Amino acid sequence: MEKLRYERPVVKKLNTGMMNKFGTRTEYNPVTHIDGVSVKELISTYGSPVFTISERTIRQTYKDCKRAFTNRYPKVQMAWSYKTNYINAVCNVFHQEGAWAEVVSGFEYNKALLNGVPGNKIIFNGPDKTDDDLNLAIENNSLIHIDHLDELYRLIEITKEINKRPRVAIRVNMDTGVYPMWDRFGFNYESGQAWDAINKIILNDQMDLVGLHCHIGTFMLAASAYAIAASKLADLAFHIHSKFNKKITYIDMGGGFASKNNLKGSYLQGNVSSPSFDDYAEAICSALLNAEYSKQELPILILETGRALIDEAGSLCGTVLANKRLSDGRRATIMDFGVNILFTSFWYDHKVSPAQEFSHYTEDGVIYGPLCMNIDVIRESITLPPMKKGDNVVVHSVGAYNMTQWMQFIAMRPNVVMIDMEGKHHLIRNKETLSDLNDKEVMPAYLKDFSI
Amino acid sequence: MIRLSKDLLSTSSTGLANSYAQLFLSANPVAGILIGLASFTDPIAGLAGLLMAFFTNVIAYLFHLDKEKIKSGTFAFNGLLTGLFLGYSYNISYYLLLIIFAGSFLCLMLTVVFDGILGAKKLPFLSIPFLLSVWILKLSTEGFNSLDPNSTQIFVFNHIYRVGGENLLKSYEFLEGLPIPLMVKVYFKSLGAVLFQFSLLPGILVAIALVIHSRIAFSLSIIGFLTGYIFYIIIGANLNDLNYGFIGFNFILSAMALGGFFLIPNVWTYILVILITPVIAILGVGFEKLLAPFNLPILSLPFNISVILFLYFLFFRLKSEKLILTLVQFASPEKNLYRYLNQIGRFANELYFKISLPVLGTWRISQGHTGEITHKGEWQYAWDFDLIDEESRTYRLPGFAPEDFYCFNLPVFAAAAGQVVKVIDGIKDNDINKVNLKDNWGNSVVIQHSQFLFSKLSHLKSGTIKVYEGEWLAKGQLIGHIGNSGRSPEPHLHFQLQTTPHVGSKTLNYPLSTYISSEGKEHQFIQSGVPQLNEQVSNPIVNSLLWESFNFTPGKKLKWTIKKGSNTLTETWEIYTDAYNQTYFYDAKSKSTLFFYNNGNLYENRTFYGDKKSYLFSFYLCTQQVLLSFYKDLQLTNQVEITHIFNWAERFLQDWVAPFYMFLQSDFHLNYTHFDNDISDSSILLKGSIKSKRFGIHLAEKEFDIKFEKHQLHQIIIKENKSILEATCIVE
Repeated sequence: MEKLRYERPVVKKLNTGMMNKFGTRTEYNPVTHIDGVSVKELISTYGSPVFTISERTIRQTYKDCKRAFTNRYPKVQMAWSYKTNYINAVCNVFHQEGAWAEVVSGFEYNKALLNGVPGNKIIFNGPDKTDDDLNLAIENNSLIHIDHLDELYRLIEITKEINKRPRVAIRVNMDTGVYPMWDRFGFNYESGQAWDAINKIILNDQMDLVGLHCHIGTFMLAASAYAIAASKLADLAFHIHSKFNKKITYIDMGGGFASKNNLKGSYLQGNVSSPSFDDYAEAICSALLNAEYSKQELPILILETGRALIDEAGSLCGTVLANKRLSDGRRATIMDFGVNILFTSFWYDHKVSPAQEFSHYTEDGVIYGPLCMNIDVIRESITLPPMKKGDNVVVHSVGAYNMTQWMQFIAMRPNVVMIDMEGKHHLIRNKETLSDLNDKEVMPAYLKDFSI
Repeated sequence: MIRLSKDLLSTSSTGLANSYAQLFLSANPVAGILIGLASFTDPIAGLAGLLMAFFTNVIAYLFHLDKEKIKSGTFAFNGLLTGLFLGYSYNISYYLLLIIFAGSFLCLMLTVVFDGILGAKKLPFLSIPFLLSVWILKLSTEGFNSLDPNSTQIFVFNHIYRVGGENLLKSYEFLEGLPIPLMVKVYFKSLGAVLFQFSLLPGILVAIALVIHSRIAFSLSIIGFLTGYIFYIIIGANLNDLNYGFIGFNFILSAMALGGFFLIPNVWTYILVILITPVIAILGVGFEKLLAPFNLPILSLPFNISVILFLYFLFFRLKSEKLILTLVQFASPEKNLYRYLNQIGRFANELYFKISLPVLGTWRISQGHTGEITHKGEWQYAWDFDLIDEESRTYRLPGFAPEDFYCFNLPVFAAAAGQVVKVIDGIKDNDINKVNLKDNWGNSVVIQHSQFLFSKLSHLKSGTIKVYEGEWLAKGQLIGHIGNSGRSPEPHLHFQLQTTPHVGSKTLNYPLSTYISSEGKEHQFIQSGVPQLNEQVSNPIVNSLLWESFNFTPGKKLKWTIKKGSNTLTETWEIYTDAYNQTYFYDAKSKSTLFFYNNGNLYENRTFYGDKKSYLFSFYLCTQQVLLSFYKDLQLTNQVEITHIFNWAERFLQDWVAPFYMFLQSDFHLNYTHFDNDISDSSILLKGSIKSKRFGIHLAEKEFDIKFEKHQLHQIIIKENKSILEATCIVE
């Protein structure tokens, strides 16, 4: 018989009115395996902390999303939002599923090209596109989404120089009844800016206006806002057609779908409050179907959702470094991962599960990261069973943005592992070493030597 | 005035040759002229017939009846028959002329009336107007002393001598005296008897006309006649009746009508011809007795009754697999048959009001027709639709609530245009694995598509139904969302077709039109079919480029530059619409016409008339059928009408056995090879071939590539016998 685990005693205030004298039990079950691979094995193989990506979850989520849309609208195209997670292996899972690429910078653009995405299936978004980027995108016949007039003017100049006809769309922002209104990207619908840009593009006749794009916000908890956005874009497209006899081939609804993560300050848990793909799909597709299009002329619906497709597929496995008691009596646990690699803990209350069996006793506490920096807090308040140094935990739903927004601060970035459909694990990004950092640095000769 | 009379003359006479052909269910003018000649072996009868047909046409013209029907001889052939009868019965005189005129008018009115009455039921009027006119005329003229009954039929030899002198008599005697078996003589006489000519010569002429008109019709005439003849011998009836010729043609005409004219000729219609003969015989004998007291001949009455009776009887079948009614009448058994064989693949759903899938995207049939769970008995012809993932699960975990099921709350759409006749809403959605047997069908919508065709969608989500009773729906209009109401343990859509508006109505076995059946990444286009259990089906998604490329609207011009070897030719086709709303290309240079059809999902070339050397004809073959959707490696396969591929001699031989065996065969294949992008500069490549076989041996193959670029059909390259034809298109 295995030796019973030692758990330190817990002191707990008794509350009247509770269901039993031990208070509410923890909602957590231990998560000892991810897609059939034991957490201990992952940590022993790849070190701690380690990011894991579940290929199965990616594919399932992608299909879930696609199903929700294609069963409501005949022409749907997904484009993988590189900024959400541009680890090549992750991108290629999406490309294998049929997604195009959506990029917002020159390096992302090149990353997509290197991954093998055909140039004409790359959507180039964002306010920052250099001349080189634009030239490359035009050369590759990519879909350039114009963000502001200065970009439009520059694009006109470039097309004149190189005598090519790029395919463009404009990004439109609008009031969809939600706060805050995202009006810093693209051209405003209500004020007529959008029409201004459209007129300039079409009358200038240097470019092919093929689509309209919007991206109404992020972590949108109201699917209805998409219905408003979709019908406004459809309306715009329809009137472009009647004014200029110019067919708008696609409507890009951007992303912003909420994942099942728990947003800080929200009353309900994410898996309850976040709309499902079906909710978003219903809002967008019925708005488009209700627009004034004949069956044959329905525009292609492009979706660039990132977060909702990848968040759940990512987990972070880590290890307890230490336990301590704070001055107010709260228990604090220090993990070996901090906000440097779990950037999203600034806005999510990430779900954290112990990776080994535990009893039903729980304790309120704080989870800190390892950084010697006061802001390094993973959870300000969490109920967990008592854990001791060396125990492992799994942080759930960390697939989106962490592996792109992470930083090399105090500690290096860890390994990233993908668990494939058969439950085999593959290293998809090596952990960084000191040389990764030092190799980039240049030491002026006069600073080389010193004596202390 | 002059112009009017010119038009009158030309219109009335155009129909004459056709009216002779119509007597034998033909539209072949050569056959018509031969039959006309045959009718003049008794010149008086022939003349009376011709006169009466002409009168009928003139009257029809003056009353502004349908000119096309005058030209096709439809109005005149009953008059023609009546005239032949009068000329045969009476000697020529002014009185006869008067009767002929009155008879024409009567016969025309009867024709129009029966055309109206029977036509409304989609039945032919055949020679009923003739029968009625003849009986009335016979009864009425019995009191007219001025009419001199013709005694030719009694004193044959005198008559022949009077008409043609000794030579004719000799040739008549020669023919009669030929050592031909009695049966064959009777056959020829029976053919002649249709024209009230009772000798061998006209019969032989008619037989030749029949062979020219149709090999199938000719073989049917023999089979019909033989069966009748043998039946008479078996039951021991009076062979003289047959011999005289008055009865025999009923078998012949019925055999031709049912064996290959109103039905598509095949082995079953040949069997039918044999089986129905006793009925015709009994009808003949019975009616003869019935009419005898009035001294009226039964003439073609058995033929008329048996054909109309049988056709109407056929309309009430629920399945029509073996005996197939001719939908578009080309007045030639061969044309009807070849067209039909071409149609089985291509125009199969032409027969039906088209019902599409009531959903978007790809769905699984979780229970098909005659399913094991609930599709039983009167409700067996229904489909249940749901969605599955890669692991064949219908839900995402944990699957405890309807919301976990993939298909829950997905929209459903009208499967075809129609009117909502019943809406049931407000029934609570069940928890998983609970059923509501009280409100069995749950929230349901019944839509009426045609007089006897309704579709029903059941188990919808409470409160989601967007239509109201009485509302007219366009195809694809949103109806509601899938729920879990009624007898539904887990969310799914129940879809059935029925003949009544009731929610509990029994089901109708009816196919669905134009859908894609998928297995993994392989897709198959089904033009008309019944999706089976576990089949993955979807409505084809229209591809913009293909749709734009085939959106040939009247007024447009297609300019082709055709390179063949070192030659460069041009062809310009204009697009027109005719009075029946059919669109066609017309190439003025080769005077060729190509009728095409496009319903937004599917483009098809229907019929080609004109010069087969023209490029338009090659286009007709290469784009015979194009589904306006792109599915990688989708393959369309159809038959090509053999008339377009093989020469007349081969076809002439094929015709004889066509109802039983096609030794000539030609297939059209089209493969969806390449599609680049979907946004603006898309391009598509389709690769196809026409493969022909003779007795299963492959003949030279025609291969072609169809390229689409810049929103239009760009190029067709045809390779045949190492020669390459390259045609580039500009649409104006």
